[in-house]
Amino acid sequence: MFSAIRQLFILATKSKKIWIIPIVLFFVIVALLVISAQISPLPVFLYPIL
Amino acid sequence: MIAFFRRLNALFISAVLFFVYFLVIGLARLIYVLSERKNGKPDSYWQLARGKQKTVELSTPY
Amino acid sequence: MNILGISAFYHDSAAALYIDGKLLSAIEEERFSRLKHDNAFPFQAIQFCLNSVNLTIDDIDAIAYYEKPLRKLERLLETFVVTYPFALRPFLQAIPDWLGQKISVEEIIRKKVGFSKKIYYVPHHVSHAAAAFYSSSFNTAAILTVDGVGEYQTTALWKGEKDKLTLLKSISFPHSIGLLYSTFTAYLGFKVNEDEYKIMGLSAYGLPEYIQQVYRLMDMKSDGSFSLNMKYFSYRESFRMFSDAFIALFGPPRKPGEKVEKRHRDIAASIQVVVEELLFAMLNHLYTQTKSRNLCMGGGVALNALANGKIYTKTPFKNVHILGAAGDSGAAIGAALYVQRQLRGSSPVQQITSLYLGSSYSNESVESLLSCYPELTYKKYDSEIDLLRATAAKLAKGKTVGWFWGRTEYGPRALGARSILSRPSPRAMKDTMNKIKRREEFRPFAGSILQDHVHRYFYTPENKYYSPFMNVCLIVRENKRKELAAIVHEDNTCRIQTVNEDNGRYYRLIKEFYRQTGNPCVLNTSFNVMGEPIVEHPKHAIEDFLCSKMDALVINDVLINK
Repeated sequence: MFSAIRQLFILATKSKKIWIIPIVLFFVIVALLVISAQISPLPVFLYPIL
Repeated sequence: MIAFFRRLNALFISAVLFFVYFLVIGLARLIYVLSERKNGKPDSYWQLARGKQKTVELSTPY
Repeated sequence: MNILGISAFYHDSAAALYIDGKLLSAIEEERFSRLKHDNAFPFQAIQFCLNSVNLTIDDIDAIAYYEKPLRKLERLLETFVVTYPFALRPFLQAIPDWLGQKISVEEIIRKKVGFSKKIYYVPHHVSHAAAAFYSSSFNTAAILTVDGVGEYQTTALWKGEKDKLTLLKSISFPHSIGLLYSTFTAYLGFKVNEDEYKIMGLSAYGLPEYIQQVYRLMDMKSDGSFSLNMKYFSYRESFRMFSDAFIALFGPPRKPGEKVEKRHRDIAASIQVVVEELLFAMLNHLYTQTKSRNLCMGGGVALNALANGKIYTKTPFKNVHILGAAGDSGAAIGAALYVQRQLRGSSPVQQITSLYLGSSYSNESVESLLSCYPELTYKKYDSEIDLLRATAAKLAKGKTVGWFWGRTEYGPRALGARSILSRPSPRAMKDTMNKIKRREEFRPFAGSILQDHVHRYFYTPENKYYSPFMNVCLIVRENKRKELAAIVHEDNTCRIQTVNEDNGRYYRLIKEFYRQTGNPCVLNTSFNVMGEPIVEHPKHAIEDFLCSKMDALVINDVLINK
């Protein structure tokens, strides 16, 4: 489940492009949402509230 | 019920991505413009392979 | 050492298996899923490759993946940054797809394929270069790889020396010949990454009257390098390939299914001329960089058979090798080959002379299947020569025959394992075949010819010309055009496959046809109807046979009639 997050960190650390850092950081959050939504149909929009 | 929540989730993720696009990609765009330099019109568009040819790193997906 | 090469997630997902340096099996996922150019992870193709040699995934020593997915994601993100704020819709579609699946290649391979050993990621154009060079018989060669886009590169010049591939120069996204050609494919109302060869076929019917407009799309240098003027292209920021500026230049786009008009034909001719000019300029420049007379080409654009046939006259290259599967399915082979070379060091040259690498079926399974079709009659031949005589006689009489024999071909071309055959004349045979295949009438057909006779029928660079993978169009000699009327295209070229003993029973069939008719050539088209992948199982062949006007069907030793 955390493979996508791990890959994003590899991208952030190996890429020499500085502008990628803010994107990767937010993508970690989006990846968690996407993966959660795939695994379980529970409403992920509740996560920020919780 | 499950299908309804799946659609709601997809909508929510799209909304988050909407936010990510306009704010985060926008920020990245600003950093990109400041950090990348543009070249004038060159004599050739070929990019030379830089430096000594090194062995391709195969064990990483990057 | 057992190495499995994989391509996935873009188009033409495939798997290829090397056992101790020998390519033993390879197949595209589409053949099983029945989705043309299927881009899903090739689970079925992988399983087939393992089953075909009685191995399990635990017997595989390494997996070679055909690209660097994180570099590709980086390029995608850079594209979104560069096109900000106009690319919202592609962004919303692409990112969940990437984060949900495409980024996790390792997880898929480990958990869903069940592989626990080393995974190697071979850069995309390295995969293409390796497939092109290491499959050839050359010790040294100049190599050109050219496609839509890999991670960043769209075009690359290489030098191949024994085991070493040296990158010389490259061009990066968004400047891409493949995407240029695909833009015109979309503009002319056809499917991108699927119908580019239709533009090639259509070009013969037009005049290059839009060349000046095509030149305006780019800045082309004399060394073959180029830069596209992105104001005319919108593939970075939208789902449409061409921009409003492109439409202002060329007129309204053709809608799918609309009648093909002179303007469309002329535009197709124009883009074909300009792409050829670009390719030959690149090749001439590549020759100055390498001074080798041997050339290997890879990448999807290397499937442009019309351009390939002119390499001998437009460039100094004398020996040309283009693997039949030059696109992304071939990159699975290239990735495996590259990894093998890196791990094993110097190894003997492993020329690929045959692409019969896929599935085959027994006579027993065919006869068992036929019992479900009482409306068909069939005869199983115990003698191959009797089968060939009967089949050739049908072809000689002008019948169309579905030919399903041996192991299925790898790559987009049917090479006599899963083909529909007929005699190559008269001209009306072309219309008959187009009705069977349900294709557009402007589409030409290809041929297979006995290798010993190719120089008599075609203008070839040398008498013993060898083109086993049907990726070259040659000009038909004037005195032979009537004999090959159904496969001579409007521009007097024909896409041709040379056939010899390596082609097994297919070679012997054409020899028998030659004995009966004096014609050493047959019309060979892929065994599928429009919209379908090439047939995989005898059931697919029988179903196509039943719903078409094909006259007979041969599956292995069984001749079937309606």
